[in-house]
Amino acid sequence: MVKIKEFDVKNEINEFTIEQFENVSRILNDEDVEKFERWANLLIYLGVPESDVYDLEFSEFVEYIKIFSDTKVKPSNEFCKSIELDGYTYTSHEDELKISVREMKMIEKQVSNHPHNYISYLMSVLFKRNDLTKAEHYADAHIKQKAKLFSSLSAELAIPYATFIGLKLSNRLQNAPTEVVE
Amino acid sequence: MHLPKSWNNVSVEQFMELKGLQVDSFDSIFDFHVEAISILSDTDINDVYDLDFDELTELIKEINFINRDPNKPVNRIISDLHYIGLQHLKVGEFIDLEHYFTNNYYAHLSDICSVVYRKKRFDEWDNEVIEPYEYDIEQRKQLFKDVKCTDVFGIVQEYIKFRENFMEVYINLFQEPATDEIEDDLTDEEKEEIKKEDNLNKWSWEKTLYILANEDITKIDDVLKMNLIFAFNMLSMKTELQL
Repeated sequence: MVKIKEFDVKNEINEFTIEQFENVSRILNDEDVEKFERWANLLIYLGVPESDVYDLEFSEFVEYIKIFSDTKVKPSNEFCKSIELDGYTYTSHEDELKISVREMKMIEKQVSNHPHNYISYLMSVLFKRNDLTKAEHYADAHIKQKAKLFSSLSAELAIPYATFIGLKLSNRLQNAPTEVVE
Repeated sequence: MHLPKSWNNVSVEQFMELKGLQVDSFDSIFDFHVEAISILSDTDINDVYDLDFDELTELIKEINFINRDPNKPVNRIISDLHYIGLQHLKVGEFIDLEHYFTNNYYAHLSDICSVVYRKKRFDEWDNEVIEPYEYDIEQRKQLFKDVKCTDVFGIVQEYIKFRENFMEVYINLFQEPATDEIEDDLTDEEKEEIKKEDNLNKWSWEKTLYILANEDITKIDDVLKMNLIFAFNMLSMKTELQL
C-alpha cells in the first residue's frame, strides 16, 4: 500500500483480488488512451478522486507513479494446489501441475478474446471442484460461474499459474510449424 | 498413441481425411493439429484433447512430415489392379479426372485411383485387354482406402505434369474463365460478354462432347470412349479449319 496524497492506494500483488489485478492490467494496457491518461485512470480506479489526480502538478504525478511502481512484494512461484471456497474444495493438481490439451485450448481462446481478463477464467479451468465429474467441470456455465467466484481471490494465488500458462503459450508459438497444410 | 513416422505409414483414407481439412475452418492452427493427430493415430478426438499439453507439443513435432507431399514413384500394381498410365486415357476418363483435380485432388485420391487402376487380362491373341471404364467407382474406391498413400500419390504429380503439357498443346481449346477479371472496371457490355462466356464455360465439357459427336447426342457415349489425344486432335483440326 502506498500513499498518494492522503489516500491509501493498493500497489502490491498480495493486496489485489484477481478481479482488481485484471482491471489494473486492462487499464494500463488500454491502447485507446494515452499513457499518461492510463496512469491517471489507474489511480482513479484505485480510489484517488478524479479531481485530486488531475489537479496534481505533472512532476508530482510522475513522482507518485514511481512510488506506486516501486513494489516490495516479490510474487511467489509456489503453486497453491487447493482452495477452499463456500464449503467446496477445488484442486489444481496433486504432484506435478499438468495441463491438458482441452484446458489449454479453452484458456488460449479466452486469452485471445479477452487479453486483459483471463486470469480468473484460467484459474477456474485449472482448479476442479473435487465432488464433480469431468463433464461437469468443463461445462461452460460452471466455468463461468467459478471464474466469477475466483475473481475475489487474492491475485497472488494466480500469479504462478498465469506464469506457467504464459510460458506454455510462448513455447507453443516458438515450436509452431512454419508451414501449414493447404 | 501410435503415430506414423512418415507418409509411408499413412493410408489413402487417412491421407484424404487429413487433406480434406480446411485450416481456415479451425479456430486456431492448434485445433487443426489436434484433428490431424486424431486422424493419423486413429484416436477419438476427445482422447487427444485429454492428452497432456506437453505431450501434444511433442506429437505435433512428430507429424511435421504432413507439411510436405509424399514423394515416391507410383506403385504400378495394387492387388489385382494395374496402373494404366495417362497416355492412353479416354475422353470420359479425362473428364472425370479433371473434375477430381479441380475439386481438391488430395481429398479425391481414391476416386483418382479408381479411374487409373484397372484389371487386365490377355485375349486369345495374347493382346493385353484393359477392363473397360464401366465399373462402379464408389465400389472401386473402397479398394484403395487401406493402401499406403505413398503407393499412389505419384499419380497426382504425374497427372499434373500431363495436364500442363496437354493444356499447352491444346491451348486454343481451353480458355481461362472470364470471371477472374475485376468486374468493377468493366462496362455493362463487357460484363454481359463475360456472363455469356461464363455460361459457355459452365457447359464446356457438354459443348466439347456435343461437337465431337457431330451434334448427335446419341453418339456421346462413343465419344467418351474415344482416345483423348485423338479426340482433341480432331477437335483442334475442326476449330482451326472452322469445319
